[in-house]
Amino acid sequence: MKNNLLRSLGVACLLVLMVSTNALAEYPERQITLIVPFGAGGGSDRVARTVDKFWTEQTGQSMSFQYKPGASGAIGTDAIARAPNDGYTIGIVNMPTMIIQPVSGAASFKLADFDFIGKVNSDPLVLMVSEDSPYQTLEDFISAARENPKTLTLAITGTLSSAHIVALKLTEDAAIDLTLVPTQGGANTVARTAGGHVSAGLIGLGLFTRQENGRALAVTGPDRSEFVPDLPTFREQGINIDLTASRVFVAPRGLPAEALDYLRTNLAKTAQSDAFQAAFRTIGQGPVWQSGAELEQEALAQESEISALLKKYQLIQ
Amino acid sequence: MELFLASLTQALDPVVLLLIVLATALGAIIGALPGFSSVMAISLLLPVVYPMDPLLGLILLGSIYMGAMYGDANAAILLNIPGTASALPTTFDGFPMTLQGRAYEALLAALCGSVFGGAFGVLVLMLSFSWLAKLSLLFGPQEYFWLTRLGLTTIAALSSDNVIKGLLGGGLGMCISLIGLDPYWGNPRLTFGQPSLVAGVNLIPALLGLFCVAQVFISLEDRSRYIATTYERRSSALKIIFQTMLRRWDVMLRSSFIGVFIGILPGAGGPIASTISYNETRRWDRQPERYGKGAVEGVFASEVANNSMVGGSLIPMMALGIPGNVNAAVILGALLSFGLKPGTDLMNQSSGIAYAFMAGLLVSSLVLAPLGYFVIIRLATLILKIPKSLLAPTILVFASVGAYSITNSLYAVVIMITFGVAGFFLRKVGIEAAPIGLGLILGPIAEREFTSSLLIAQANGSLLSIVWRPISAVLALLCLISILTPLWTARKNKKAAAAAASGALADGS
Amino acid sequence: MDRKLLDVVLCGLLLAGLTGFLLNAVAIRPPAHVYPLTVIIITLLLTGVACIRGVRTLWRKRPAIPLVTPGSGRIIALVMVALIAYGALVSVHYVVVTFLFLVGLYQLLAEKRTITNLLVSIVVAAVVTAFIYFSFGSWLHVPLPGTS
Repeated sequence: MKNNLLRSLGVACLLVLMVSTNALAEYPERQITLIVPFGAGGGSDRVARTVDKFWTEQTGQSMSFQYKPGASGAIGTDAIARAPNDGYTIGIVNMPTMIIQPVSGAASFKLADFDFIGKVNSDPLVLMVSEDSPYQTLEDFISAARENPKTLTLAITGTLSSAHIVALKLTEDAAIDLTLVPTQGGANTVARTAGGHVSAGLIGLGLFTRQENGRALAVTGPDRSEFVPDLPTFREQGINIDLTASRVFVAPRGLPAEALDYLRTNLAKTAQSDAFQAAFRTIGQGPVWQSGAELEQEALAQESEISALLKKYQLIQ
Repeated sequence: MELFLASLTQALDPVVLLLIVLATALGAIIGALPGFSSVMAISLLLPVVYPMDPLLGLILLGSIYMGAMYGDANAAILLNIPGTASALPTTFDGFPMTLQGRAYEALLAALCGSVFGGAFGVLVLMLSFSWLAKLSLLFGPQEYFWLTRLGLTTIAALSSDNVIKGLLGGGLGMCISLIGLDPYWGNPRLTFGQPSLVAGVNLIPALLGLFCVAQVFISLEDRSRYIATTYERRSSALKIIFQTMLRRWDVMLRSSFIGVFIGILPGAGGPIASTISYNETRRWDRQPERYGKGAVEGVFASEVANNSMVGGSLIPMMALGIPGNVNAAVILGALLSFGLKPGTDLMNQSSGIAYAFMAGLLVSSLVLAPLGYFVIIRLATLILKIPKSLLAPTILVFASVGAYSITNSLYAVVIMITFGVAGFFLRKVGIEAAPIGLGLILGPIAEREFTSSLLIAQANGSLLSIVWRPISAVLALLCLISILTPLWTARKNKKAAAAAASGALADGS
Repeated sequence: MDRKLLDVVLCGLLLAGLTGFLLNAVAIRPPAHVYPLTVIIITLLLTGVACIRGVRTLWRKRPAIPLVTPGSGRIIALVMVALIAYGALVSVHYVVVTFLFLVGLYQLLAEKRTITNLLVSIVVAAVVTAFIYFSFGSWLHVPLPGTS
């Protein structure tokens, strides 16, 4: 305790010195730390590393990576929320996971704890069936489900995940009753679905396109995906699901205006460069760019929609 | 075949070979250090690998994976600390062998078993991966559930002298693994209002506590200077090991097949492979009572299976794009970053990059032999020359930092210490660490698959479907036999002991 | 403490803990309740049996079995306390606390406390701490407690 006090006094003295000698120093003066709330080598890490590569080209300085995995990202996201809001610690989080977790009580952070920097990718979800499934279209699937309530099984990756929300939305919009079967990972969902152990499965498009099992019936999002231009959207077939899984850069709330501006501008330039977009497509991710202010509105809208949905299906009180 | 030979020559290129040796060695060393994991090693090297030639990068990652699956056996045998959960069954017989002064023999067995299993797994991967991958899709949640049960029945077999306490330990492990979010609703349960428990009890810190910390306390009881009071390095040991491998070819083959097969099933993973292999080896042995007391076949069973699992886990990843476990998932990530798509694509195009990768893995598994014999075993046995007064505190510090690094929080260290202290006292009353560990590892998988099976059964309107499927039924039957045999043997032994005692009494009178 | 007594005490504790689990698990909504309830009830039954057996053994007044090998109890207790203290204090400064913990325990466990031994302890502790600091802290990017 005493030690800390002394140290912070020292730091304060140093700061005063630095400010007085170098009053014009601009943000960022040192390396920015990026918190990744998942393990090294996972999907988030791959996206973050790719962003970092082009970010370094753009700004001349790389980010320092810190992994804080656990509890489906809740631990790391919480760490971002609590980090000092000086602009030197930012994080990459998943949407809509970061919205669902506080709503369902699985995490202690709130949306209001963050400043939004921008969204860099968007991975829609697809409804997949096995090769020899009787369902050729989304309509087949829905009418079968309507005739036999609860007998059709739908594999979803994780509970209270983006797939879960899409499944609930499908249930609600199509007025059907499905048995949802949560699995422990995307790979598992594919295996269950391709093996015909469940009637259908919901997986990320990125995962779907990089393997060769099964057929897709529909994809979420407002427009068709460039990766599978022949696959109709849910929306085209009368089910309005726009939800996609995306990765978003955030910072703890209350960043200095100058820092937030710097981060937003440079991330926008990074994410909009051709080289970046090409690199993203190679790792199977649909690149998009959406800036912070807009993103925050979207997040808030999603929050109320998701919490209404979860309440309706009694997943939260 | 031509393609295979061509790719093999590619893998034997001096530069490539040197890389394979280095990566395998790094993997083995990292695997041997408690607290470091193979996933850590693989992920760390990703940034190094990305700018490389895709093939070299892939071979590098594969070699680390292969090395790590062998390396963890060393800590398991010498210190009773499974470096990874897959090496848990290696401790069952490996550590007793160390205490008996047969550490060298056990280490050699682990090495030979790993080389054999590793090479076998890769060969299977090369020869038949496309149709084997399809086989993996036949396994539904019902079968997975029975597989975890089969793994858990090892408990009954392991604790034949006190079945109740053994099962109690397993149940305790499973109960602890219930803490956290429930897999269906995602609601917190059994957290008793503690926010830190919502994330559940993390497996690795718990295992480090049960095995590492508790083991340190136990070892302090014996005031001798070193871990093993006797240790001899007989030159004939290698010959004996080879003879055992030839004589017990059934163990080698069965364990290899089990390893490859479980590896193929996405999400089942190394711990299930090595436990089931251990259990089956014990079951088919003429003297099952030798196991757990230093039977070299036990070390073989575990190590052969967890290295042949490497090839197995890459099968669904390469053929279907479904990674068998975290390591395979990271390798898949690299594959995609190089712009290679798994599936038929991977096999046809890209100048046979898949075959070259597999050839590289094969070389890596073979490189393990000299590497282990001349380097790793020599380094590892140095541990036995370090006095306990230096070793014990160092292990505690390593275990702490290992636990801490899982989530970078001190909470994990608290879990580790709690499990360490509790594990020590529980062991004193006959509730061993192994059943608790098995319960902790297999509990969550069992629950998830059981819940899935139940949901599917309810949707189909027939609860019978959990058992009444061809593969399920066989697995369920095997479980039943596994549970009943030790009970029966225990009864028989008791009778025999009683008879012997009354005989002795009669003699004495 | 006698091992037989510990057996009964631990079984009792487990029984209490598991009952707590059971009371909490009843609240789990179907269909997620089947597995947890089954596991908890089976474990509870096994603990019950173990308890009864333990009490019966205790009753028979067989010769006491010591908890640990005589003479080692003090050392084990000290190491336990040191480890708990280490866990509690390590957030102050990783390097300093780890170094002190290592030197302290090396000395505690050493057969003879000579100057040479102390020097060896200090050198080994420094090497181990430095190794962890550089491998985890720098290479693996693990932010060690109290060093940032």
